[in-house]
Amino acid sequence: MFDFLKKSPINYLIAKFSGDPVFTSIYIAIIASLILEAVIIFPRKKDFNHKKARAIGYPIIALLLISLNIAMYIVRR
Amino acid sequence: MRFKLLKLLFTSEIASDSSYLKKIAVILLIGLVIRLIFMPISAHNDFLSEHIRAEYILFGGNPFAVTSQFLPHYIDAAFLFLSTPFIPDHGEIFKLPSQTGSASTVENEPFLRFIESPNSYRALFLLKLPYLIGDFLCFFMLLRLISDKKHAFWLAGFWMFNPISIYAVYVYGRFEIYWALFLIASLLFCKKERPYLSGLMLGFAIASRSYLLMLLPLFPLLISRKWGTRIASLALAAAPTAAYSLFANLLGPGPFFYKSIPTFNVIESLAEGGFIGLGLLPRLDIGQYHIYLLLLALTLIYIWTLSRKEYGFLSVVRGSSLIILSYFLLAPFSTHWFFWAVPWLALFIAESKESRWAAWAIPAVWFLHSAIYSDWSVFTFYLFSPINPQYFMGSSSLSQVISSLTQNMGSGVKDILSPETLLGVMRSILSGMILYIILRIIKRKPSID
Repeated sequence: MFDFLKKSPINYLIAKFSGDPVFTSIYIAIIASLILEAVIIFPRKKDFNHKKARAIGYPIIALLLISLNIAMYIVRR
Repeated sequence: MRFKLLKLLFTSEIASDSSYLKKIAVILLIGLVIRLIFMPISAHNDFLSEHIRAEYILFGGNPFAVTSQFLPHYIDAAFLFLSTPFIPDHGEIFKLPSQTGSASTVENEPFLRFIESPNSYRALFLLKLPYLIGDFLCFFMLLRLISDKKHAFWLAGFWMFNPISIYAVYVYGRFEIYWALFLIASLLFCKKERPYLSGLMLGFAIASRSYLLMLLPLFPLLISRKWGTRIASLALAAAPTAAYSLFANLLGPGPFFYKSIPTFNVIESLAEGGFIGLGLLPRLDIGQYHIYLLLLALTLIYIWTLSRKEYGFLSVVRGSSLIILSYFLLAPFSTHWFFWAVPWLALFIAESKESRWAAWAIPAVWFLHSAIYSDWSVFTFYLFSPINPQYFMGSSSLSQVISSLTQNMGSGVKDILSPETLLGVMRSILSGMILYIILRIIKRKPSID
């Protein structure tokens, strides 16, 4: 299933990130939050419901992190 | 309310406009994302060399382990101390080299060992954090120099998105941000008419990057028209490096670093391969005499700026930017050194409406120039070896790719497309654009607001 990854130059990158799940989770969480703020929340007009956008956005990031940790666990095994 | 913290960081003119602050915040956030992406996945030998020297200061029993540019090593040593608990295999990553042989530069083998260690991404990320903090402090201080909103917007965009800063600080991992921080602080104090603090901050900048010695004595001479103030700020600018040299000499050179040099000598460490040695390379040979072109340019700049009898912040910015840009007009330089021009280009962009395109085009030409230059130095591929050492260390440079493409062509075409010719072409374009900016600076009445 992951044969294509083994042949790709990014296999090393994936293995290294999977090998340090604590750092990877924090790193991805910071980048995802910044992208959420910079692309979706900050550029909107005043009437945009920022609270609602964050209430939807951050749980999606949390779900992304859970999936990422499961994927890293599979790669490590 | 939403921008309460940001408002504290800007001038009142900028802070009063919420929609404008929003734009600046978006620039900041996108700039931050770009920087964060590069932080853990790239570095140069120099990054490890510098941190091994910092490790030596901390745990190697030699508090004077460096000769010139000592301040970044101490700042990084402090940060290394703080990050040690968060890097599990710290001892293995920053293994001190043996007591024989030079450790001033780490070669490929220890670098490979470093990037292959399980926590190298974490180490790279954590140890580049002070650079990120310094970068953002520079950003806010630069905006403090500007009160016009449009000008500040251009300056913010250039500082955050120009590829030179991202390359030098986050891809290459060099400690360039520290001198920029102290230099911009020096300019800020100069604008606020605090000449002594300005001189001292310039001193810290020189202690962070020795090339800033080029700004002595012009910078302090342009600070004020009073001789007493000029001499005092010159003394303060020289004080940090002089004091460190004195202590290092009194307490003896380190047991390991530079032990072949009996006394501490800043100039000696800069002459070979440093900015002084490279700065003397461009010259005209007339019979048995040499005319050093950079010295010729510096002499003209000194005469021109001092004869105008204009003092204060604007004169300091004009004189200093002419000196630094003249260096890049004439002298050879390592790819990451080009960051030395960035604060001056950023201020030029803020000031000059008509020529912004030139300052923006310079990073693009610098990129092509450096990509071809990578045959002799390191530019693109090798720096990303933490992503995949086998793949990136074995990749060809741009000039190798061009050479292989022109292999079967005639010798005339080969000569024109040879890396040497292409490098010369790009260098000529780069120098031409820098000369254009120098001429604009000389021609225009400076009005940074």
